[in-house]
Amino acid sequence: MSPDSFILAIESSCDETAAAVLRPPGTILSSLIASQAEEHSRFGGVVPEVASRNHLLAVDPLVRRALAEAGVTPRDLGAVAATSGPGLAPALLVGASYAKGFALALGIPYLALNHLEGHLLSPFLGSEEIPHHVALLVSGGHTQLTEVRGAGRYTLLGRTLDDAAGEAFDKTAKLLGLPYPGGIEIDRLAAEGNPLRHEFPQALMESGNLDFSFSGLKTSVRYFLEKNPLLPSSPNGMADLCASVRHAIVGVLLKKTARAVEISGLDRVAVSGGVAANRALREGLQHLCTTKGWTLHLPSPELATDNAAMMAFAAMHHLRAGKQSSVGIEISPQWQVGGRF
Amino acid sequence: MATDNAVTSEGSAVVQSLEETRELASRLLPLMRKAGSVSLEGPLGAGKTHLVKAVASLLGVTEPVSSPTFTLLHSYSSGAYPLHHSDWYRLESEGEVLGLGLEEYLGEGVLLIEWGDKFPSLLPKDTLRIRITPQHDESRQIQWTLKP
Repeated sequence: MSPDSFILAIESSCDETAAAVLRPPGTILSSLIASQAEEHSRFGGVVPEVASRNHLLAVDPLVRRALAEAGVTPRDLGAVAATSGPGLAPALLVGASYAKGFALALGIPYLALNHLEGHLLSPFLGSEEIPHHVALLVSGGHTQLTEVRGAGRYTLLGRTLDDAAGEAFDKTAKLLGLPYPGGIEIDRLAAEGNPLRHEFPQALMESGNLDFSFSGLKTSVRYFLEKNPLLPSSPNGMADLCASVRHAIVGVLLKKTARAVEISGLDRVAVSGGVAANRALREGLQHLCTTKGWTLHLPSPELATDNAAMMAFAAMHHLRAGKQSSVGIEISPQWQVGGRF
Repeated sequence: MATDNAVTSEGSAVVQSLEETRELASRLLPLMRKAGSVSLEGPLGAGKTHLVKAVASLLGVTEPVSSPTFTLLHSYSSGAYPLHHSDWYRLESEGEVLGLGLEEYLGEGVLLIEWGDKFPSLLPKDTLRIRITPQHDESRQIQWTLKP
């Protein structure tokens, strides 16, 4: 296989099915996501038996569309990759089985990849070398700090002990009565608010480790609203609440990230995952890195949320390192980074 | 002979602290094991995940127990028996619940389901239902029922 052969990747670790075609090192020829809603509408509404096999129905038409949009035929592919974990077993099984079949039929390499590795590498799309850095991965399902020594070399430094940061945003937004997706709504309303008006807990802020805990924030906001029921509808009430909640979450993320970089003796930070789009987090990290003289890597918005293009890029690094997976390999729903790699 | 600590298939208690939650969890554990599946119910911030963490710690689970709200299912195999932790908070249709394939996780260890009351008809038969109600003084009332 030539190093520039096209890579097809399939990502189906949770609700959505995604497929992408990459021309190495960094040209995304197509990157598609099939939502549940789209599949449901094709069958005229929610049919339980259909929805439970959502990935199965989505994957084949999606891959065909991804290839067509990329303008490549299966014969042009050099490898096929799929997310093998962590994630939901029935969902992972569909993407991985399909990708194995595709690779076997074409006689090309198959790669079983970690979803979190896809996120970790996403800020570096197009780079042949992944620099030594500290990575903050923040999404609805994951929040962790990882030392990345290069592609495939990860050490977990800390992680959330309960809720992920994205989940903390969405659930406090729900308590505040904001529409879904609440994290984005908090970020929008917070722009006009005073982040120091209310003090919400920043758990583990002063702990010596690099772990996070966000579940206490929900409980605190819940009791705050019981005691101050009229506050959200008062002038600036909602804006100040949103700014204060955001300050509580982002403050801990920034402080622990800074500590991780200092402890590791590095000068480089990358952020990935859906919460990487949060304005206060981006601005806070930019300010931190400017002040300290560190380099900051951010993914493009379409690479921050779950997608298959980041998996294709991770696949490229595996191939360059001479790695490929046996088609006999099973999915790993509990697979974490910094552990089994 | 029943001891002071035994719980019957229906009851209620008020807990004032995380330590008391853990103590109650240890008393409920035999009932959870007997039922095989447990629905954890109550509003946001009630402490459902805390109860799961208490169960995991009692079983000797060594991995950190984080929320499955977005990831939908976490399994832990390092404890005395397998512990599966699901969350239906984000799910909006019966099809999505069925898509989790939870039947695969019944019969070995305990399956804990947060927000199981969103789709009561999809809860496994013989599910222990636990409801946590936050009180104004920040204590929690915990009620449980296991229909014979």
